Amino acid sequence: MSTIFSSQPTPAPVRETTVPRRVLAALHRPAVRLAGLLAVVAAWWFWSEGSKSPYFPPLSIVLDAFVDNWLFERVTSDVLPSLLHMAIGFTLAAMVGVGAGVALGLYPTLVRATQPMLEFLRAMPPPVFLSFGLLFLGTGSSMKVAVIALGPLWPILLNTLEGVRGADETRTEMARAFSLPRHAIVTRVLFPSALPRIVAGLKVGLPLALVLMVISELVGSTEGIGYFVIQSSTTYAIADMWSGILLLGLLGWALSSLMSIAERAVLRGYPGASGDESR
Amino acid sequence: MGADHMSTLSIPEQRRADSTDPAAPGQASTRLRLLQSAWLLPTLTTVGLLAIAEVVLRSPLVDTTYLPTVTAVLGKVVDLAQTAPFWQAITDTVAQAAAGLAVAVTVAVPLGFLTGLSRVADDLTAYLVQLLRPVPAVALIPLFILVVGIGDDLAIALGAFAGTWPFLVQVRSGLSDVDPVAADTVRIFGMPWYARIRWVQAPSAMPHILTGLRISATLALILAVTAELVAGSPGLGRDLALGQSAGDAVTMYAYVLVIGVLGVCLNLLLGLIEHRVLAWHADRRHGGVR
Repeated sequence: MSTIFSSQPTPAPVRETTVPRRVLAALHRPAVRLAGLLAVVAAWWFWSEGSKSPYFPPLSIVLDAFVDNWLFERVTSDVLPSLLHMAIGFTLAAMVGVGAGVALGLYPTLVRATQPMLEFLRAMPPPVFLSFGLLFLGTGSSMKVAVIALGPLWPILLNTLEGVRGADETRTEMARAFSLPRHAIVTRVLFPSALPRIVAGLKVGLPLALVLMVISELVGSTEGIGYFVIQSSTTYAIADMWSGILLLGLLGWALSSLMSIAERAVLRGYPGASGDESR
Repeated sequence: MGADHMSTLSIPEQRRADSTDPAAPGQASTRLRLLQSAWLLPTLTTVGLLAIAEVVLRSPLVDTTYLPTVTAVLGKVVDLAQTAPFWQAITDTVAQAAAGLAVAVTVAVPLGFLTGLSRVADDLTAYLVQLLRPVPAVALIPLFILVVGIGDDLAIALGAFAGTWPFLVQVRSGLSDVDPVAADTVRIFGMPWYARIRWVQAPSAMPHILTGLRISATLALILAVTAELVAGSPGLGRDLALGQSAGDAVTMYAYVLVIGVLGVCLNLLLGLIEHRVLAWHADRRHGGVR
C-alpha cells in the first residue's frame, strides 16, 4: 500500500552497511528471535515451577500430561475424530464456496440482487450456526461437520465472487471473441484470475474451521479435543486441560503454517501474490 | 506538508458528490432509472424471497416446528423489543464486545509501536507472536471459565485475547510500511523522531490499523457471542441458546436475526470509520479500495 506521498518509482535507498555486516545481521536475526521465544518459555517454566495456583500448574507437569495424552494415547479416540470432522467440513465449505462463488460471479445481476442476504450472512457471527446444528441435527458427527462447514463457507464464497468479478475484462472479452466455450472461459480465464482471492478466502476460512471444530465439541459432545479440554476443566484435571489447550494452539499454528506454504506454492508466478488478508 | 495534507482532504468530497448523483444524465426514463438504482433490485429480491418463504412455510405440507414463518419471527422480534431483558441482552453483548476490543487495543497499540519502531523488540517477539496468533481463542474457554467465571469477564477476556494479535500485527507492519520517498524526505529535513512518527509513520500505518480494527472488532463480537452461547455469559447468545435448548424455534430465529443485524451494524460502522479516516488516502481517492 502506498502512503500519503504519491508513489513515484524511486531507486531503493542506499544503505551504508557493508556486505559482511549484512551477512552477520542476517545470521543473527533468527538467533535473536529464537532467544526471545526461548526466554518466554523459560520464564514460564521457572515461574510456574513453584506455582501454588491451582489453575496454572508447573509447565513440567503440563508437558508430562501432554506426552501422556497426545503421544499417542488419545490420538484415535479424540484427535482423529476432530481432525476428520474439520477436514470434511472445510472441504465441503471450500467446494461449495468456490463453486457457488464462480457460478454467482457469472451473473452480475444475481449478485446485486442477493447482495443484502450475502452481507447478512457474512456479518453473522459463526458460532450462531451451532444453534442451528443442534436444533436440526442433534449432537452427532453430521452436526459437527455442518457447523464447521457453515463458518468458512461465507468468506470463501464472497472472496471467490469478488475474485471472479474482478477478472480482467480484456481477457474475458478476448476469450469470448475467440468463441471459447463457456466452461473453458470459466476454467481457463475466470478461475485463474480469481485464484489469489480464492486462496485469501481459504486462508480466512481455515482458522474459522478450527474455531468451529472446538465450539461444536464443547456442547453435548462425547469425543474430540474440545470435548477433552472442557471435560478436563469440569473434573479439575487442570494439567490435562492445559495439555489440550497446548495441542489446539500447536494445531492452529501448524494449520496456518501449512496454509502459508500452500499459498506460496499455488500463487507462484502471480504478480504481488499474497491476496487480501482483511476479510 | 501540513498544507498538502489539508488540500488533498477536500478532493474526495467533491468526487463523491459528482459520482453519486444518479439523476445527472437525465436521459433514461424514470422507471428505468429506478430499476437501475443501487438499492431497488436487492430490496425487491430480498422481500420477494421472504414472501415466497412465508407462503411455502404456511402451506400445510411443511412442518414448522423447526422452520417458523417469517412473520412469526418478525413478530417475535417486535414482542421482544418491548421487554427490558431483551435490551439488557443487547447492551450486555455490545458492552462485552466493546470492552474486549478496548483491552485488545490497549495492549496491542503500545506493543505494536514498540515492535514496529524497534528492530530488537520486533525480533525478540516475532516467533512468540507467530506462535500465539493462530491459537484459537475458544480453546481458552475452559481455562477462562475457571479463572474468571462465566460472567461478562469471560466474554471480555476471550475477545481481548482474540483481538490483540491481529491488531498488534497490523500496527507493527503498518509502521514499517513507509514510502521510501517519505523516509528520505524525513531524513533530509532532519525531522525529530516524534515528528516522524506523527507525520509520516502514523499516517502510513493508518490503513493497516483500520484493517486491524476491523478484524479485532469482528472477533470481539464473535467471541462475546461464543461465550454467551457455550458458557452462558449474559447476552444475546445465551438467550439464543436458551431458546434452542427449549426447542423454541421462533425465539431462536428471532435472536439469530438480531445478532445478524448487530453484525451488519458493526460492519456498517467500521465502513463509516474507514471512509472518514482514510478519505485522504491515495488508494481510496483513486478508487483502489472497493
